Amino acid sequence: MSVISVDHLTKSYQTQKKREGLSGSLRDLINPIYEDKTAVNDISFSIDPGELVGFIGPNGAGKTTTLKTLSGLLYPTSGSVSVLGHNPWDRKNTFLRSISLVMGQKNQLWWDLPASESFALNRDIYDIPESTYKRNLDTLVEMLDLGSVLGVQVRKLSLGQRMKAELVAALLHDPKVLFLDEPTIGLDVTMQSQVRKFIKTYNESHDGAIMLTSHYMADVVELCKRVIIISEGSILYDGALSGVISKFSSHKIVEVILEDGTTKTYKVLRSKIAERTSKILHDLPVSDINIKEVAIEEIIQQVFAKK
Amino acid sequence: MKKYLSIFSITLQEYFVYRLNMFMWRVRQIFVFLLPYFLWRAVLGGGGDIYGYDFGSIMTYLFGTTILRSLVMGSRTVDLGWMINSGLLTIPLMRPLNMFRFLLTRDAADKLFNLSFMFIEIPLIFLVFKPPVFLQTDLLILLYAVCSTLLAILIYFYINIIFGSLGFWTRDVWAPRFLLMVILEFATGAMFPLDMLSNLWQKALLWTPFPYLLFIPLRIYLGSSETMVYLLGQLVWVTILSLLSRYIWKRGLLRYEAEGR
Repeated sequence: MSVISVDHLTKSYQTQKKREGLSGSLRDLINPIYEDKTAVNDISFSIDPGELVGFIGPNGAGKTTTLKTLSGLLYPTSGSVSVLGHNPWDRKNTFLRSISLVMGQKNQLWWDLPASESFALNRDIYDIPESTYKRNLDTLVEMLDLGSVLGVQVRKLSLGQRMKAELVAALLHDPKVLFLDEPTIGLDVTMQSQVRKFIKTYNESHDGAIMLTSHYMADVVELCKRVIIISEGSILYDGALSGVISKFSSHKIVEVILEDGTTKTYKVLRSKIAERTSKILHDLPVSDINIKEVAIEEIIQQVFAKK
Repeated sequence: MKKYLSIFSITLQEYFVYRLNMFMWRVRQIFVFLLPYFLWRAVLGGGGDIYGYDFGSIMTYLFGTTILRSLVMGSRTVDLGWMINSGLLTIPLMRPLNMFRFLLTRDAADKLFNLSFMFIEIPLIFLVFKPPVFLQTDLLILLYAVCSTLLAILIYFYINIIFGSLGFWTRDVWAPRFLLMVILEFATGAMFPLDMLSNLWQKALLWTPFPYLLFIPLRIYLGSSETMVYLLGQLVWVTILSLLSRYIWKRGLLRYEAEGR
């Protein structure tokens, strides 16, 4: 049975449209113009326990809006959402105890106090038994190598350390569903890799579902077997990561190494591969030939660019 | 319950991080008392009375409002509009917490913080200026005064929720708040005793919740013959504002956009 089920979800906002210049501003004072912006438009999908799904799309695609709706922060304009059998909007305590939302650079810890204080507060807020708290805290702190900074004011932590501390705070209560919104944004390459490794290990050792949004394709490629691609509020693709290539890439890459050692690369239509390779083999002094798929990062960037 | 105790404790810990802030805030509180003190001393220090208030009774009034202000109007809920607009509200909303209890707990921490310092400042002011004040000794009246103060705290809490909830509809939360602050200074009786006003004004103001924040609790402390009517008035306002704030809050949440977060 699915842990997350989204059925024809639509979420619109009303925004004020500003007229140009000072006279426009004055007119806005008297007669403001409002327009509806549809952030998420009639999307449906479901997620099973233990799945780690990548939710990807360009800026303003509706990823965060979807995550916020699934967390119960936003009220859907239409459609229905069910998370662990709850309507998120009801924000029942049993629901809130079973989920966690981590949002990239947005700090959820108490800024002026050490992270350990925020952890202890979460223990009390989520009614975590002392033994479970200690066990989870020890495990998470060790996995994320955070022991040395637990007593340091959150404001004094580096971005990477803060992100790790956010993850600890979000996972202490063993959530069944974890929403990760850009967890590696702004981190350096090493820290990104550490956070990614942690998410992977955590997913393997826990049966909860994880929904991840990220701008870094490396996150998605390394972590997610399934991706949902969203653009302008609509789902373009929902399926295996490997399927993205066959669906969106019309080309393959043909790489040839010539006898003099130089390398040539051709981007060839899938339907013309046999014809083109035989022509290359016939025309050029080829010592080796390699046919491969276009990198998934590139394909997805193309998909977004087209939209 | 434990969760709210922890929130109470962590809110207080937050205050102690900024020592200079803490100190300056206390200095400000002393000035809040001193400014009207010197004003009234200039007017009444030489003897005589105005609207039945001599220097001693006006000092008692000032002393009372200074203490009551810290208790009633010390609040963290004043930040609610900003929390909504900045998206900071997302953090408590995502936790298994009752939002009103969460906000009230933060208010309680603020009030305790204020009160603890009042024990240092009040004797200090007393020693330096030796103002003539009336100390109530009737235990029943003191009990009524405590009840009235608690009701005043709730009235102010709900007013803040209502004004803060404006943040769900507009980004312009500061102007309404400043307007409220000006109204509060005047209509609560913080600047001068409201019975200095004409009967008509007094009666009109009593139809608003504002006098029930400072003026009425102080009247009750001083032993008013209308204590029960006043307490009933406070109860009515608590009920009206509580229902109204819950209604507005529920409507507002539907519009929450969790921006910036």
